[in-house]
Amino acid sequence: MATETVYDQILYKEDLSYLKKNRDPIIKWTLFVFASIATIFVFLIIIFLFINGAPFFAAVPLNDFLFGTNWLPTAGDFGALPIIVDTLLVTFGAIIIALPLGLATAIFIAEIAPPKLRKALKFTVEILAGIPSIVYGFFGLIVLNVIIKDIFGLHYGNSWLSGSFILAIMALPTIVSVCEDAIRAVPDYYRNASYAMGATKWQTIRKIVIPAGMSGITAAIILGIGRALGETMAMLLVIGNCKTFPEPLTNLLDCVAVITSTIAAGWGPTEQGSLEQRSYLALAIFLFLMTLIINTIANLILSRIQRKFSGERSKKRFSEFRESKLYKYMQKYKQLLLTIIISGLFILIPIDFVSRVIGVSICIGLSFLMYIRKKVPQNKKKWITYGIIIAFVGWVLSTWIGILLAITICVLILGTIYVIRRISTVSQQRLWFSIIYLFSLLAVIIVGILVSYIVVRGFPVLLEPDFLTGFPSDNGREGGILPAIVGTLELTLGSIAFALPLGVCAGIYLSEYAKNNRITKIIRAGIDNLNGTPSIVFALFGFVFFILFFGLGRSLLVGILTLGLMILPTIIRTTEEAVKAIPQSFREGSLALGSSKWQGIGKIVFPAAIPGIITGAILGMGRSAGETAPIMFTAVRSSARWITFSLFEPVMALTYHLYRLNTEVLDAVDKAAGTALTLLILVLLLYAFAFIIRSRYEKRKQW
Amino acid sequence: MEKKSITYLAIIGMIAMFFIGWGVTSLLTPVGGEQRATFVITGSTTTEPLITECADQFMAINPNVDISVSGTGSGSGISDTINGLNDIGMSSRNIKTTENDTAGGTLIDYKFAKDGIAIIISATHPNATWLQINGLTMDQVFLIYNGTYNTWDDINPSLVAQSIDVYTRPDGSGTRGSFEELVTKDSEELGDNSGYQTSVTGYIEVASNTVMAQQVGLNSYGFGYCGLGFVDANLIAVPVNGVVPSVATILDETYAISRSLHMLTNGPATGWVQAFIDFVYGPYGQKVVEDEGFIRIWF
Amino acid sequence: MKKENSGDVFLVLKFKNKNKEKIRNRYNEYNDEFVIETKELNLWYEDNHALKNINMKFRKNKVTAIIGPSGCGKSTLLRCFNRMNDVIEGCRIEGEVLFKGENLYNNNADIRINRKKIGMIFQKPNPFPMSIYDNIIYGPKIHKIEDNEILEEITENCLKRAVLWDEVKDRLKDTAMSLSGGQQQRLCIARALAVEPEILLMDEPTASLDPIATQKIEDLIFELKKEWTVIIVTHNMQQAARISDYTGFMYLGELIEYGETTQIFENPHQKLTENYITGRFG
Repeated sequence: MATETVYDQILYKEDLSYLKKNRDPIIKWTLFVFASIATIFVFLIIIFLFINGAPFFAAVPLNDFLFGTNWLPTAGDFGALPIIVDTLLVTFGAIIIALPLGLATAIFIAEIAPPKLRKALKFTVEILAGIPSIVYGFFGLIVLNVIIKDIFGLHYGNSWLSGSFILAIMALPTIVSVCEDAIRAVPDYYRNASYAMGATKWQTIRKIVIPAGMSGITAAIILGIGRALGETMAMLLVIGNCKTFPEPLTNLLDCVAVITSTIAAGWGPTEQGSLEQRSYLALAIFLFLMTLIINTIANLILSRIQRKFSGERSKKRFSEFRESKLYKYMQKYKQLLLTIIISGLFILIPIDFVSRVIGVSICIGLSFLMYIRKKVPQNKKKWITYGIIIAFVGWVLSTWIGILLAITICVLILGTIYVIRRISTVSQQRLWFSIIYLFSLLAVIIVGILVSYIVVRGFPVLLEPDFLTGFPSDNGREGGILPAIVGTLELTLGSIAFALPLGVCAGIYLSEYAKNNRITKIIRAGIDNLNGTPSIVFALFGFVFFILFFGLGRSLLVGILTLGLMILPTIIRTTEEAVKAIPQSFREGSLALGSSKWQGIGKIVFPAAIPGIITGAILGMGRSAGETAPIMFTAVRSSARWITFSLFEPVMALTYHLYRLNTEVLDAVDKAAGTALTLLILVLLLYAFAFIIRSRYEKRKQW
Repeated sequence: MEKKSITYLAIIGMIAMFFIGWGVTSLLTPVGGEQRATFVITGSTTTEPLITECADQFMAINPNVDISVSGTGSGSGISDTINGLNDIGMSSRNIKTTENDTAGGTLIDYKFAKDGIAIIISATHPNATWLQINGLTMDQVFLIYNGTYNTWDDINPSLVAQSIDVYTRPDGSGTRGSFEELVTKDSEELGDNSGYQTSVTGYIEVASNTVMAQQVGLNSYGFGYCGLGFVDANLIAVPVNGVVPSVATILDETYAISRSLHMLTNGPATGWVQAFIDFVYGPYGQKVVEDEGFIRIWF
Repeated sequence: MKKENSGDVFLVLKFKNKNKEKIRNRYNEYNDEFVIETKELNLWYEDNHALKNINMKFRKNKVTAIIGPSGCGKSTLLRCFNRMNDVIEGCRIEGEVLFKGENLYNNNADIRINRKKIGMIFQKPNPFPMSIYDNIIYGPKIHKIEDNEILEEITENCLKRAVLWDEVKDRLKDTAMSLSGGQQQRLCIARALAVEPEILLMDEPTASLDPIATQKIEDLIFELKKEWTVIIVTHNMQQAARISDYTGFMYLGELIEYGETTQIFENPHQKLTENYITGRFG
């Protein structure tokens, strides 16, 4: 039989010449090229930003930029201090609001809720992370600002409070999800050991679970801060953008400006290449550096958690140094050393005398406080912490309602704490659980109001005959949003078509082929950091690079490239993680049969990683569908009478259309609500789809 | 496995076909079938709704033209024109000589409409009637804007003792540029030009004339400025130097704070671009100008 | 699978006889007794000296067991025979591993050719996440056998040799992950057999299995040694005593004693070996 002879030949052939044709190097090089392109883009963003920002720093002294109090680029005033301080204040306010709600919800989901409710809640929380920021902005402008204005009897509602509140709702899903993961990561035997000693559930949560998950909770806060810092569109619409300090500094109801909104509002009208324009790039660089620090801290903490529970030891780097005498001295006197270094910094940097004195004295004061805290016995230590917090709250309250009332409230708080500590553990548990229920309920209600407002307001508009299938007319007051829907789809599909091949190849190369050396580490760090970089930074890069440098016009193509670059780091990361999650034994099993490395990866590892990669890709699509800032300067047009598929023409997009309906055409709130609902449905469907794929895949996974 | 791989192949094939098709259509002809002429207009957000409406009407008459309009702000509209990134730039302020020099003097300025910048307060202002009757002087407008007057009773003791909430537009905006140019010019006579720029940054910045009108309308103690066309029933346009802003007073230039709206081309316009400019100057275009609340340049 | 019912069986039978004959012939071509030989083999993981001067020879058509306490380097040694250690970063090797007289670590040798000839079974069953059928034909497909009929024949043949055919013949298209642990391990053996190796390396193949599954695997090894050379790493001394012909005892990266199984277990020359075998440590 002919077939049999073939079989014979192959099985017993000593000459395995077909194996000589090894395609591995070719594939390795192809992947390398793709990975390099992706990496070059990633670093190009950083480099281009700095190169284009450099003339600004050459022309304007850093001191004037960082410590000047007047921001008016056209007049040559580049003092960003109020903007920076406002940004920090708004973010701080957001975390103060979001943290109790988020932590309570996370505890509720992880520890208290029955399994079915837990699953549903977690799914909802994850989906809600996808609500586009422009939708929050719409809600804030139409509903929240009016409420705040009426409640506090103000002249206007654009305020620090409304900004912080909107940011808090936005950061809530991130905080809940990361906190919940951190709490779930605490091994059950911790809890069992606590129960075995007769502790109540609340005592276990309070004394065992939360301290063990503390680093995860910290990471959640930091990630939340990162999210809040990078938020553009909602802030642009909500906070009023006045570039002053709140008056007084604790006045939640004063209007403020944040870095992102300042860039978004100021970038458009400036002349290209002028110093004014570069000043916004300088702001973007500052923002980038801020998020870089924050992301690095978050990543460090998250990787420490992984090590903590997997029992892996940290690397033995600097081990010699650690044993040296110098290090021990440094450990002993680190407080003093840190104080000297920071005070030295204050003296060295070029600021005026008063700021120097204030900075140094704050520094010394803090370190003195820490010193005292060290001397206090262990069990009294937390009273000092409580004391500082109460003093701070008291100070804030006194600026709002006067010193006497503030003292009364502080005393009341202290009294309540005292009483709570005296009641029985069962009552304590009851009390704290009710607080957790209350806060979780509050979180659900707040998010619920937002979503239902948009649904109730927008749904009738969706049912209008021409809305989903018609073209806009009279500046969007009449007609439909078909070109915007198609444009958003084009941008989304296009960006994923650009980012997916690059990102997947780069991810596979990085996890399978790249040697674990310094260059790989740098590349990984670059990708990680761009992963959390605010979208407004990508917007500026897209504009400067594609439009000014390459001379492409505002077009679909530039929008696709900008959005693609924005989601590229996410795709690289998810691919890497999905590929890494495939057990090493699959690769070895394939190699042991005589396959080449690529055969194993291509036929076994990659197919097994596909669900993970698809999840990442769909999340990326959801993100690019919901973004406004990156396309605002690069790809959009106001109105369209045709559906165009041309890559070289601008398109309409749902997000920008919604922005325009909020800023240019205010008498079309219903159309805006309809657009918001369409956008919400589109993005949330994508997110839901991604998470359904992921959970099905987790269920089916058997290795 | 085979079935699966066929499915995969089919999906990948479909996606590939989709993108190839997309690429080809984008390079050859738009979906309309006929070859369409396309051009791009960017610039002033004040002018953008008006030009968008003009473009929509123009395209309704000429189906084989596709005009894309984007509101980016006057400054970038002008420099887009200089850099050849658009076919027509829109501006709501005058072109600076430096800008014309950068372009090599080839910028052509089409002033297709006039607009008055109204000084607005809310109709719910407690002293609305007083302000409407007595108005403000140019100096007072300036002193409010530069922060010398913080409360309404600083202007006149008979007014309410509440803070003046000044609204302004982002730095670089054409309307703000025109407003500051006109207001500062007159205030130079005061001989007190020093404090002018410093305190302007503290005000609430709004993204457009529409938002300005809405926000000031909602704030009983608000003070702002916007195109005359955006003044609605919730607002009162305060007389300046005793002149009530209206079409007539702006045209005879008795109302001081007025400006022209500009379209710009780099070099003489040709083809459809010229046709569009003609359209804006023509009866239909000028009707849109009027409908959107601006002042037509001929009757 | 069932295209020609009568012909199918005939083909397989015919193939099986012919196969055996071929294999016998092939072994006759190589007259030396030893298939694999290590010379002064040293191995480091970063700074950790994991194998120290290993000199060992493995006889063909015999089962050789390598025993020793965990961390003694026995799996590392086994992985040297098909250069599986190449995958691990920071691993450095000195010395020679001769396969039929040729050094595996000769840079000119394409390791894929030798890996085809030297199959490997891992400690934890590692079927690929695809159907049973696809698992078996994965190897042959890599080695350019594309004819479906032949692939089906190979599948049936290998599954029969791994004593798994009767259990899975009706669900060849099911995912391999649905099998039990013991079945998965036998599937991995069948998968290794599908590329017709000459040697089978087994790295604690029963470590993660229950006693009944272990029994089945051990029976299978008895069958396999009729045709293949088997090198098995195990920390289960009874298992080594039951199934192997030769046994090597390793301790802390060194080969302490190597000889016939009966000798090692009944009359060890080294004190260390005796202590280990009698259960005083390990």
